[in-house]
Amino acid sequence: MRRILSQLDTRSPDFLANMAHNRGLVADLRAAQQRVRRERPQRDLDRLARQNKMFVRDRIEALLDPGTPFLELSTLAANQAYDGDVPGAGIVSGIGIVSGREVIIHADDASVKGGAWYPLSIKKIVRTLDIAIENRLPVVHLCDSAGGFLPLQAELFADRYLAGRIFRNQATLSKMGVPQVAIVLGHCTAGGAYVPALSEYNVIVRGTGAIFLGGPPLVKAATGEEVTVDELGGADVHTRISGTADYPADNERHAIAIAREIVGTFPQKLGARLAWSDPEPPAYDPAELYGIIPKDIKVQFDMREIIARLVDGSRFHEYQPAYGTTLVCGFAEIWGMTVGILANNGVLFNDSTLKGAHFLQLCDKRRVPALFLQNITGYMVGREYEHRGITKDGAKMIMAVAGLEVPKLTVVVNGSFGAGNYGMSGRAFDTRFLFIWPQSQISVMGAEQASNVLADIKVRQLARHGQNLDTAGIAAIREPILEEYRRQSSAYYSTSEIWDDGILDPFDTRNALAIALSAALNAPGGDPRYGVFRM
Amino acid sequence: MRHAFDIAGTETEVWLERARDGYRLGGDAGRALVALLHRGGNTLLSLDGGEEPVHLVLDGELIHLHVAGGHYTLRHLDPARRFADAEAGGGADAARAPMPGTVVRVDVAVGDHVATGDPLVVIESMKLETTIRAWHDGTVSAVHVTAGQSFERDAVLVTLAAEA
Amino acid sequence: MSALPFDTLLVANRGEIALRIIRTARRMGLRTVVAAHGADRGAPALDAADAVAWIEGATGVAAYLDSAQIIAAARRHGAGAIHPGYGFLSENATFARAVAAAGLVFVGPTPEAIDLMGDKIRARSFVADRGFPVAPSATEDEDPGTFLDRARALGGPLLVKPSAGGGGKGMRIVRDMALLEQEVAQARSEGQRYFGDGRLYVERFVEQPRHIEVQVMGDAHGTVVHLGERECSVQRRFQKIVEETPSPVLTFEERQRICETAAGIARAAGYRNAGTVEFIYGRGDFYFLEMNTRLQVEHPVTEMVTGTDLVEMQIRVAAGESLGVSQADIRHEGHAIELRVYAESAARGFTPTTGRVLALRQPGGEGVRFDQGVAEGQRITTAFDPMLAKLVVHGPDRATAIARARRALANTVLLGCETNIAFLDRLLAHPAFAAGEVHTGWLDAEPALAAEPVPSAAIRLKLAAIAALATRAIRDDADAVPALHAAIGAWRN
Repeated sequence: MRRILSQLDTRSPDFLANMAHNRGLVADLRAAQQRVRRERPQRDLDRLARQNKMFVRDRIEALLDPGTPFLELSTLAANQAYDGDVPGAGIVSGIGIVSGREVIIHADDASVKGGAWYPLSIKKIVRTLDIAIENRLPVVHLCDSAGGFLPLQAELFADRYLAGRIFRNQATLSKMGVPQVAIVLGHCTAGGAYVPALSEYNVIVRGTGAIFLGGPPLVKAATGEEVTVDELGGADVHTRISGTADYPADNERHAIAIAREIVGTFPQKLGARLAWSDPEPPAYDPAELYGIIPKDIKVQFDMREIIARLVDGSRFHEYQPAYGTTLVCGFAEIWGMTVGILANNGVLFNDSTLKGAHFLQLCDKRRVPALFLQNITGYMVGREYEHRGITKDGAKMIMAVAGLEVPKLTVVVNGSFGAGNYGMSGRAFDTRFLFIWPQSQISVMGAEQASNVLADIKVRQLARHGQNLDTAGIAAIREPILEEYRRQSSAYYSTSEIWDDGILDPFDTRNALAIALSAALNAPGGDPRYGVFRM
Repeated sequence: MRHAFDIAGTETEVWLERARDGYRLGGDAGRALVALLHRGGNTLLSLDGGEEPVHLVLDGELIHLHVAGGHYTLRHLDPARRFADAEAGGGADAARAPMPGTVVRVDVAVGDHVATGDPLVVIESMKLETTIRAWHDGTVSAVHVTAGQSFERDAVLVTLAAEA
Repeated sequence: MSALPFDTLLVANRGEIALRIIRTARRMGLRTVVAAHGADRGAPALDAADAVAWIEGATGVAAYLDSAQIIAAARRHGAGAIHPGYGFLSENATFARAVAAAGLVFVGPTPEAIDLMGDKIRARSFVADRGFPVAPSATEDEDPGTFLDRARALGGPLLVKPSAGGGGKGMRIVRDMALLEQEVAQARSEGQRYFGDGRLYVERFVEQPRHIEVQVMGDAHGTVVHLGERECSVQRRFQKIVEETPSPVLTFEERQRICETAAGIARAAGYRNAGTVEFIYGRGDFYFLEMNTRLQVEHPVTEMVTGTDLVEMQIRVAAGESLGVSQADIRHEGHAIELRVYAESAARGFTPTTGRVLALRQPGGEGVRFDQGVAEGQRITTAFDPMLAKLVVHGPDRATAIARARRALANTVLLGCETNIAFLDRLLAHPAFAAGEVHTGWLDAEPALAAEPVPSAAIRLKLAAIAALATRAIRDDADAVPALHAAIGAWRN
């Protein structure tokens, strides 16, 4: 493979301005993450201490193998919801190594509203388990939840992909032969009781852990029976009498040590104990990514410069370099793992669309995962293109993306607008992991364009009722729409709604992709097959 | 949670991380690139590039070693056992009868020092004899039954005190 | 040199001395039998001897005190001579007589000499009567009624000693005369308990005394030579730990006087075979303490500076040969130090320790002699005294000997049973020892030496590294991590 030759002038004023701007965005991102991860009201931390409970992140660090990476997902979930009162949606999830096995962790954060499950908490847990199913990753549940947040029950209970989906996913994982370990570190009440019950292995902490379908107050209300937490569903009841829990533990550290032992009995990935081979970092400094991304989303840049700072040795074998040049396709390695990359260098035309569909079939046939680097405003519109079949070609690309058997990974590098999102394997297309950069925008069309359209409609509506607006009046209508639109198309909004699996510092993307790829390759996919390509 | 060693009375957490040549040591004692080399019948400790001879013998949970002119004995603390309470609530340090039966023989007396695996009490139930053995090193703090005695399920048979 | 009148030697002892005697006997062309007790299975002497005679008793010690059993064993194996080593029956005149009566050769002094010097009070009188210096003392026997008064009259401080005692047992120092009576009563009951004899005598105690002893050797033809002195002042509760020769404190003239006094005493007693005359030395004065009618534990230091083999000399003398050397032939070169390696925990009050010798590596190097008493695989029990080995080091001068000794200690590996090796090194490193400023009370006044220092951070790091690498479970945990994640390391996004 040939090394990409960078054409960047790293001393140009544009580069330096971008660098400063993007570093600022990353600093904001890290500050926001730090707050969400660590800052809690003192009374919540005091309560944990009184209950003899460890902080959720300390539990996770104790669980993970030392000297190994942890890819946290959706750190900033719910950052724009519930008045920002539920950091991370009260759940910490991520991919890490426990006793040498790749696992995905779902941990309730009892320092946030007692670990109550908000609608976005449910969504985050369901997403975690979907990742487990799609990538065949064993799950470790760190259970410590007060149960569903009742005031918002309508948003978390009845529908297909809400709370019940958690337990359906757990059952599916078991059916697939993917093991789960639950560590009961607090109360598992009502639905929450099913998390340990549906895990093939569970550990319960004596004194603080409890499992029951109804807690003492509910039992008293229902039948008049008076019973303590421990008598109803404590460690000894469930490990000695009912058989609901498997391993009693004397304290949290003991429980975590037992869980590590359990995970150590799971089958190990083939080739996991491979001989050491030195990774080859990119030939160009990944920090230069900050200088490449323009401040204005309308400004184009060459995706090859991005690729050159993500892949091993900056080496990239470009496929069809002269054809369909607005879609860069080619093969590269990330931490020694081969991927097929599709990256946008402009709007998708007929040729680039066809090239994309073709290249995806190549990846599928060669069993190489596909990595989509999105910076797409959409497909080309206009008479010439329609006559040439751009709609049909877009459909072919979507058919290829949707039907792909090999794992797909997506990074929204800059813009992700409209149908371009689909062809470039957006969320709906079962991409195994979707990450987004801090400055990225994602919406059905660009904010400016959309707010113009919406303002226009509003202005006409008012005109019909006899109200005619001047420029200032129109601006007054347009500005708030633009603001709101921008907010709802920001990376922060996307991650809040868990439309993605986390905002990444561009510099971190290489490592994140390596970990994601390694996880994804646990389920490499079946033989290639697709629906009908409209030719 | 990680392994630890009792080094001169201090519980010292340690772990190894895979590295290209050998391992990286982590934990309470510090970090270093380490490996044990075997050359011409001798064992050498390689630590951050420096090498020195070492003699070591594994003895159950104990490691006897000689390095840098001194002798040391370390005790390995298994992660799952480290954090278990020695006197856990629920009588974890007592052996309870798994089912009703009778005592065939009592092999220990109060005050006896026992090592893990030493027989304590032999019981018989449903025509099957079971030997209850010491589940850790320690001292017999109480024997609750005598030979010939009958007991119910869950009856306490022997209580051990933890190793001093 | 004529051929010996016996071809087989029974060694009625164990541990390092048994092996040491066997080695010399073997070199001399003798067949060797060792009397061994079951508790010593795996001991090196058993392998080295040509035959093993198992002995039994209510305790291990009792077996070695069973005179009849030992003589019977010698007979059974065709041994013509018995070497008693030290301790056990080595200073038992009855045993020596029984051996002779059985027609066997006792490798040691005459029973009469043993009798004379075995009774401390009688020995003292013998020596004093012939004009050799003794410490002012009072014996009970002279006049029990006035004993306490006469003791008091000596002036303090006083040393109360059991007359049948030896090896430092049962002695007590009395500085406060008001306590004399009760100390005497306690010493008496101890003497009764340990030695079966409650008689006492009292000596003026020399403050900060040094224990200087002289090796003597006599033959059956009246020749007696001395082989120089040894200083054994490093003692813990009257038990010797470190011995050396020459004494760092004696002037040339003092050395002459002490050694010739010792030789004179031995000559006066018609002494045959190996013996040691012990003196108390303080500020230029010395007094006869006692004479040990046996080979001593610390004899190797004498061997190393004089280039002699005392056991060989013992055997030849016992066989009737003449010494073949005159005083002028005995040369002294350099300095030698002996360290007694014990199975004991210095940090826990020197309590005996037990275990199994899982690994043993003897130190080598110039001037290093290691008299091992245990072998790999052997169990260490409390059946016998806890001495495991003797490290004896020679050098051209004292400083070199000390340096070599410290290096040898550092290179001695004995795993599986706690020993006093680290304590010995701390002792050698102490400035008072380096300056030769020791006396019999010095070590007891340095309790800090017994304390095990906390390992330094650098040592802890090494220990943690070795332990982690040696523990399969820890290595497996590391090996289990996939190469990719190990390479990325502890990264967080």
